[in-house]
This record gives sequence, structure tokens and C-alpha cells, in this order.
Amino acid sequence: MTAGGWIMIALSWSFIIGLSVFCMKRVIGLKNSQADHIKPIYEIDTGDLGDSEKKKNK
Amino acid sequence: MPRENWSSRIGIILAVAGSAVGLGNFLRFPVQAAQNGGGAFMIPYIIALLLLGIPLCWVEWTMGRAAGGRGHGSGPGILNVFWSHRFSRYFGSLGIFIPLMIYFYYVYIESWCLAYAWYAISGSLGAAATAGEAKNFLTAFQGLADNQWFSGISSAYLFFLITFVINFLVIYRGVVKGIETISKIAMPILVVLGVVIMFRVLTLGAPDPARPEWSLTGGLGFMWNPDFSALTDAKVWLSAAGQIFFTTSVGLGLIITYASYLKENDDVALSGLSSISINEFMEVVIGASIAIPAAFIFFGPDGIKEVAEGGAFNLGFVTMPMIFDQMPMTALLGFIWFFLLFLAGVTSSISMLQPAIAFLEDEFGFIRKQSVSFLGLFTFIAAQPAIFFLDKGVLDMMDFWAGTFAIVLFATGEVIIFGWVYGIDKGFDQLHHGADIKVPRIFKFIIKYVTPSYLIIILSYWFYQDGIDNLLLRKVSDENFPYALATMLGMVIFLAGIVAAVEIAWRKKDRKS
Repeated sequence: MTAGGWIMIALSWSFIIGLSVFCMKRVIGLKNSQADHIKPIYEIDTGDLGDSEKKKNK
Repeated sequence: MPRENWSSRIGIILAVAGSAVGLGNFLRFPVQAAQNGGGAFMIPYIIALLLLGIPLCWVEWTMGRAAGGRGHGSGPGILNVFWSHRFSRYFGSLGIFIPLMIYFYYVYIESWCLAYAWYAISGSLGAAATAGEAKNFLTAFQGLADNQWFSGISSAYLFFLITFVINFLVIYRGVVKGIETISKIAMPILVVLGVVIMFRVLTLGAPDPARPEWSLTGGLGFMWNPDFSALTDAKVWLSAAGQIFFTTSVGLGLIITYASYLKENDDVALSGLSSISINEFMEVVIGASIAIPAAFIFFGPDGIKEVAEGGAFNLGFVTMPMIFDQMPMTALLGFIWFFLLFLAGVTSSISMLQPAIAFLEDEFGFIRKQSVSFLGLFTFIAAQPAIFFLDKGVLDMMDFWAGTFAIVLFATGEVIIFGWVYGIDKGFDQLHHGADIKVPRIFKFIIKYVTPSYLIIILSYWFYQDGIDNLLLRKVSDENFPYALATMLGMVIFLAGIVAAVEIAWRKKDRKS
């Protein structure tokens, strides 16, 4: 294996393992309730049947 | 009937990752990398991951969650929530068509893994020690030849039936008790089995003292030594983009369906990224460290080229049994390898059934028993051509149109509807609702401009390169022509049937309202 091969394997594995560790750390470290406050949901008004029914009910 | 919701965040992440981790992670990726510049392949691969895989994953998670809250869990309903035009519903039919078409042949290939796991542990596979014998074993098992191992297709058919029943038992139990439970069990086992096999390969060293260059470092070198001149070849970039599509499960209609079972405030940004990261770990770290390095150690620098050119199936079902045959604990290692592939297959195949189940339940009001019985009967019949006409080009035809071309087409439609029709600003806000990470703003630009452009280039190139020939059946031999034509017509009729079903479902709803 050449030095280039070792560099490619090191960079690729670092990126993938780093991404995995970052995600798992965040997923395991957060409780579901912590996610609720960030932004209000956009009302999707596309004329879809479900939306029309919702409006009628309101 | 109320829609189900995932019982835990880790459940949906593992289910989506399970859907993505399949045979391609362990067989297709190493072959693609070895054929397309070795370590240099990782440059277009990572770029495609950042410009296609991750953005599309976020788009699908976001669209699925939003539409699920409005009672839609399959392509037609989901796209229609984001674009109320009736064309979106018809186009969304691809989100049911693609996974089912792939399921029709994937379930049979998945059953080979179960069969090989059984033959490995029972010792039958060990008798096929040379390349010729291993190939004969496979073709006889598939019912394409009679020899000392098999006569007829009955063994393969038995394993197909077992696999088929396992899939539907999982689906019948529903999203939480079925899919989520099996994902929580299978995925950790998959990782452990992968690490066991990887550890075995990485500790092989150079087993033949007479040929010290046939070593692990040589094998890793074959896989990872960069050939940067390959980057000037457009095909390498397209192969990398294609691999990202195959591996991340985007464009298949699966992620949008799974995400539709999320609650309104559930995170999609971190969960989507997490499922991608698990899949990439299984592919780039584990998948890349098994088959090709092991094949190099036992077949050397010349033999490995032939192995890589033989393709992914040859590597998995012919080369790997021969490799295990030369190691201690042949039966156990063979069993672990094929059971690993089988588990990867099961978690993928069940996800291919769920969009159709969601369509029948959400849009037609079927109860679980009805939807599973209907789909079970339909898929059982539709899976037969791939089994009995395997050597007639039926599988190749289905794989090109449904498993390659339609995936990119569907993903292109999704990202255009999300970024342009619905609007990237609103879409990006949707993505951030309940998010546990902040997605960099550059992804607004990527989702709106870069991803659709990239997809259109891939789509055009594939259509130009293979699509026209496939459409006109130019590459089909005279002998296989009737089968190819029948497959093509069958696919058109099937897609038209789904579009008709979508129209009926919405007309019924319109009448009710």
C-alpha cells in the first residue's frame, strides 16, 4: 500500500467515523422534549384534501 | 384507522439505516471503488454524498413527516401535499412502483443469502472449493443446471418461500411491533457480524509464506491506492453518484414512507444524518475491509482483477465461499458472512413493502390484514418471473428501469417539488422544525440548484448511455426478446395500474368531501 492509499483510507475513515460519532453522541445525549421549541411549523396550504377538511372543521 | 408512530427515535434511525444497508454495502461498493480509481473514488463518492445523498435524505425525511401528519404515507399523497396539482399524485406513483418492482427480484436474491448461510453451516458449500465448482454450485442452485449439488429449482424455491413469509410476518406486525422491532434486533447483530468478519480479514496478514506480497496491505492497497487520473473520466463520477443512490436508499420512496410515521415535532435533521452515517460506516469502513482485501490475499494481484471485473454477485456468491474455504472455521465464517447479507437484505426488503401497505391503508382505508393479504398475494405472483426466467434477462430489465433509472427520476421530481414548487425557504423551515442540529445554510443553495442539476445530468447520461438501447431492446438477444418485451409491457401496465388506483382513491375522497 502506498502513502497515498494510507492517506485516503485515513481521511475517508476519519470523515465517516467522525460523522457517526457526532450523530450518535447527539442522538443518545438528547431527550425528545429538548427538540420541541426550535421553530413553529409552517402551515402548508396546498389545497390538499386534508388541509381543506381541517379548515372546514375550524 | 389511526396511523402508527415510531415508538423511539433510535427505532426510526435503525429502520431507515436498515433499509439503506443492504447487499450493495458489502458487495457493490468495494467492486465500484476497485474499478474506479481505488482511493481516488472516495473523492467523487464523498462529493456525491454531500451534494446528493444527504440533501435528498433531508428532503425525504421532511416531506414524509409533514405529509404523515396529514394522513399520507406513500409517494402520491406525500408529493400532493407539497404540490396540489394532480400530476404530483401521478408522478408520486413511482414511490410505490419502484420499491415493489425491486422487491419482485430482491426477495429472491435475499433468499440466496439465507440458503448459502444454511449450506455453509451444514458443510455443503465447503465442497465447492474451486472457482468452477462454486459457479456450478450457484447455477445449479438457481435451477439453471443439474449437477451433483442440485437438480431443479426446488431448493432455491423453498428458501424463497421461507424468506417471503419472514418478510410478510414482519410487515403484518406493523410499523412498531414489526419493522421497528426487527430493526432494533437485526442492526446491532449486523454490525457485530460485520466487525467479526472484518477483524478476521484484517488479521490474515500474508497466509502463504511463498507469496508474501499476497498480503493484507496489498489487498488494502488494491482497494485504496489512489489513481487520480481516473478522476478525469466522467464515468467515475457517475459511478460514485450511482453508488450513493443505491446505498442511501434515496429516490426509492422508502424514506418518505418511514418518515411519515414520525410525530409532528420529531427531529428529522439529526435523525436523517444519523441513518446516513450508520449506512456509510457499514459501507466504507466495514464493507470495504472484507471482500476485496480478502480476495487479494487468496488470489493475488492478477486474480483480484478478474474477481473485481466479475462484479458484485460473483464476489459474494462465488469468490467469498472459496476464500472462506481456505480459512480455519470455514463453515462458521461462511455462515456469518451469508447471514450478515441475509439480515442486511431483510431490513431492506421489508422497507420496500411498506409504501404499498401505506398506500392501501391511508388512501383506501384497508385494515392491516387486508393490505398485507392483498400485497402478499400480488407480490408472490409478480416475483415468479424473476425466479423462473432468471437467465432470460428479466431481472436485468427490471433492475435498469425500476432499480436505476426510475430512482433518479423520482428523486429529481421530489427535489424540484421541494425546492422550487413548494419553495426552498418554507422547505428549509420545515426541515428545522423540531431539529436537534442546525443544517448549514449552504444546503439551501445545494437543494435548490446543485442537487437537481446533478440529478438531471445523471439522468440524461444514463438515458443516453443505456436507456435508448434498453427502450428499443437493442441489447437483448433474439432468444430473450419475448421475455424482455413481456417484462417491459408488464412494467408499463403495473405503473399504469398504480396511477389508476391513485385516481380512484382521490375521486373517492373528492366524493366524500
